[in-house]
Amino acid sequence: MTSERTVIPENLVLTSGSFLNLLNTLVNTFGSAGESMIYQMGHENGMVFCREVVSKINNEGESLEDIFEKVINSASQIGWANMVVEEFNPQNGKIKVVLQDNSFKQFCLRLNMPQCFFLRGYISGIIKELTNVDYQFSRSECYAHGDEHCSIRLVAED
Amino acid sequence: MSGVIISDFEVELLISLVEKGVEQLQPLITPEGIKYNDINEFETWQETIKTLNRLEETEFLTGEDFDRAIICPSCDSPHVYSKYACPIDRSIFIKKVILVRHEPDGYSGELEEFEQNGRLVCPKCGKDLGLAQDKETWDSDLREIGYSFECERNGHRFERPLVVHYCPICGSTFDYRTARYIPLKAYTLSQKTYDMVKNTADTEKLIKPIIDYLKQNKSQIQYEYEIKGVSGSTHQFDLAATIGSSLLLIDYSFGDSQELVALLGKKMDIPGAEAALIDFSDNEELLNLGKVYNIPIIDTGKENWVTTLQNVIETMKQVPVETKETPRRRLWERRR
Repeated sequence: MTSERTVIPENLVLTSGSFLNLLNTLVNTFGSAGESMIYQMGHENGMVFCREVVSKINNEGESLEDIFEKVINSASQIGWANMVVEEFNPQNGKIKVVLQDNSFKQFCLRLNMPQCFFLRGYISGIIKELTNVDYQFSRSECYAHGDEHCSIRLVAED
Repeated sequence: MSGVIISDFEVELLISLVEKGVEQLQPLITPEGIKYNDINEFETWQETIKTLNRLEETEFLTGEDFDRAIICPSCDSPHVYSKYACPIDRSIFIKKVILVRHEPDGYSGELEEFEQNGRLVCPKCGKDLGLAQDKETWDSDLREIGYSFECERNGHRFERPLVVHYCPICGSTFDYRTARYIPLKAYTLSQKTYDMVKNTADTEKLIKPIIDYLKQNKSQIQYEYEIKGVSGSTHQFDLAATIGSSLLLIDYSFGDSQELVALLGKKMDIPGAEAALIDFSDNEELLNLGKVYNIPIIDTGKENWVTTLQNVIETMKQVPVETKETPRRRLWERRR
């Protein structure tokens, strides 16, 4: 008897809804600590992702801003959101990324609160990997708050 | 309903009731609204009732039907007077007419006919029958045989007047058709409340040696401490102690390892802060987990709790790692 073997794809496909359910379980179980855990997951993931992208691209003579933009563009292709760097000022420790077509938008609206803890951590992880400076979340524009855009602003920790 | 969280304010309210020895809260209709014992913490009586209902839902109070209140439809005041009115023109200027009979001579008439200088005198036989305003003094031969109402405006006589309500707060007059008629409950403190208050008192008693020790080491103590983490999430801790610029974040645990995991999650979001868990359960598993997570478990039931806390304090007094020179790695430069 022969059986066909299922070919396991290299990439795991997970809808944003399923992903958010996983994250919400953490928040429901651990409260604000769950949000922190999600942020840390995003942070680690952002660092690993950044390392992979930088290892593959030719960054000869590129500025830090150009490299950050390339990593952010690569992250957009994964499907988190169409991320656009609006402010990049490591000297002042300020970074702002606008998230167009954010896959979490519907959930922010439905739950009436920001659902971007993973992405906050993800972006802070990318910048940490590039500069070795810790950035923390500063503030966001969020659909849940009635803003027209979704954006994440990070500032360098003191 | 166990596990339902009530606010700190509600906890304080319940504690104050127990401390005052209040066992049951009964409603009282006053010009200021519906009052329950000495509860004056709320701006409006509606807020008081809303809170008491919530405490009933969460089983900290047991509610039972106690009274009813007529509520003014214009201003929501329960301080309402009732008056009688003429069914023809709704005038409240009506009078009650009492009919009496003097049995020996059979004379019947309105009570007013018997009145002479504050006394009652039979118009037929002239016998004095007592004081007009004091029914107790009436002669036993004088009998009340009925009553009716008379409108002073239109002279109409009727047996049953309309009942109308008057609100002295806003001056509106209304009747049963527009009035709100609400049930008022009496609330009894449940066993759950007494248990909660006891646990709170016990907790304060249990943490006292730890607080005293921290204070001896020049710590500033803050209860119900709230702080925003690098993720933007706001975290709450049962206790925080500061020594200089160092921060120690403390949560209490009654043996649930989830508390420890949550404390670890919150600590990760507050870089540079120390964390410790005060355990009241004597749980060995927590002690082991605490070692894995690098979070000290302080259990005053254990002999070494002072050493554990002292180690935390020593760590807090050390120079922060950040001040040491750390070479910054720049990934984008690596491949140059």
